[in-house]
Amino acid sequence: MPETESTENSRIINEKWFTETPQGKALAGSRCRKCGRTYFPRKRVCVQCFEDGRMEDVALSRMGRLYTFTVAEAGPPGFTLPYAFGYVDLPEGVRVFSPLGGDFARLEIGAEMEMAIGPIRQDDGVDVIGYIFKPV
Amino acid sequence: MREVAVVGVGMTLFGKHTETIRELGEEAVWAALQDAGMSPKDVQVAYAGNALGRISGQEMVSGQMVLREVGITGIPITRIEDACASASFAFRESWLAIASGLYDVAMAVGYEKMTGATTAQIMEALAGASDTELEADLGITFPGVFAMVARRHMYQYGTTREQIAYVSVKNHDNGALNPRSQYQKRFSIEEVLASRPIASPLNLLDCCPISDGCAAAVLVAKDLAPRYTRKPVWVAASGQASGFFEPGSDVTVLKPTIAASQSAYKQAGLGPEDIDLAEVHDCFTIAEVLHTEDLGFAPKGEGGPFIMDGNTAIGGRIPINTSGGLLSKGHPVGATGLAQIVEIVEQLRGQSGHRQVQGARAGLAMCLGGFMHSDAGVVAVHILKA
Ligand SMILES: [Zn+2]
Repeated sequence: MPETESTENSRIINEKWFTETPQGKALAGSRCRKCGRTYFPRKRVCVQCFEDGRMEDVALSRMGRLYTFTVAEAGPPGFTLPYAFGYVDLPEGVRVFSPLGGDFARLEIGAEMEMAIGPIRQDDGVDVIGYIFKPV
Repeated sequence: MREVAVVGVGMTLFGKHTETIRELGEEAVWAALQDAGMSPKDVQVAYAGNALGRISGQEMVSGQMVLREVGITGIPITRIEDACASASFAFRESWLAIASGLYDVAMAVGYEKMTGATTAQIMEALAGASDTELEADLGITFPGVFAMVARRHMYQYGTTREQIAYVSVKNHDNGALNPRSQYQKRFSIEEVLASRPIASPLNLLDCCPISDGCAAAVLVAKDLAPRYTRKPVWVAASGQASGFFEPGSDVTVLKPTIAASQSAYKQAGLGPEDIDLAEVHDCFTIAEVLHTEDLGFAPKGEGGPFIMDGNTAIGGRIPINTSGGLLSKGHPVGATGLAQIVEIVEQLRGQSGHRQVQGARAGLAMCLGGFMHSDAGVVAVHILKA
């Protein structure tokens, strides 16, 4: 069973955050057709030009650059320590808060990151599946 | 707008208490009333700051529950939640209620009970001061938020890890002079750097502790002030701004702090150079570096060396967190904003003992509530004058 479907032992954190592309799951955003500002997750009203009803669905880039990050040695229940998180800037002008995976030693500001899908925490023994950015 | 004076302040010791918020509240509110020589029946309106009702269990009507203990009943009482700045806004609403002319006497109180819960439970509860859907559920923590800020500040301005650690050293030095501080212990830069890693690059001694406590202040209209005190402290300005959440915003520049402080400086007719001391929201060491810059005490990017050079120590150009700040005095979240006011009021009255800033005439209190999408949630800036 691929990790991109909800099962008895896992669930997708929020189906609405994702869209299918030929390359696999991508983050599902909205792009304002009037001013071009792009958002994640999807939304209805553009807060740059206040245009309503002219958003189009877009699949966001799976690649981005790491704006900043931390490796946490303490955290809320459900996270396996240590775990990493940070902000990733996507080429569409969207900054996404994301769990980070891969080799933590390779995390640095400006690093090129690629989105993956996988477990981000446990909730009552169920894996919660979400997006994770990893250094390329 | 009418002029408003603070005529009474009170607070509990900050730290680990066996008492409940009911008992802590009674102690601090009664102390504020005693300080003002005021009957509870004189209070016409009250605002209560509290953030973590889910930890204490008293998630609703806690303002009425606490104030009932001192006989403040029947009047309008409203609870305010704005994360760590909850009590700052209890103070601001009290000021506004009087300045507007609607009421003459107001009580501002803030309280929090945090000990007894596990650190993991506290981290989870505090993560509720982010965007819970898009950040907290994905693992964000507040040490992590400010760790990300620290990493960026070091990257952009060359701020050193030692400069950041020195904030903790300085504030613990001040806390050691404050009998109400949770910690009375000094630390070296080396000890901060050797303390347990929490969220890289921050360690345990870069983080404020988990605390219980309550703080309160009584405010009155100008013409009533002489009835209660010979040393009124005037609310010269109250500024508030929320996050701007602009795309790609620079996490090392907290625009709400700049907006709230510019508004406050304008109201008070003062600039940063006129401020004799400040209490700022040092929830984590790096936060004080940012606030020192965003409040205009040091140029952007130069907060690290400015603090390291002693400019913000007692006796320096602009003493910051003479109380010990959140790092040493403690951080009972919903009480913090008013504990800052208590420190400024006592400093302006010349009652601060060994940590007294000589000749202090104007003090600033800055508090930050919440953080999401790389901006502060909300910021309060108050300026008080002797
Ligand atoms: Zn638009």
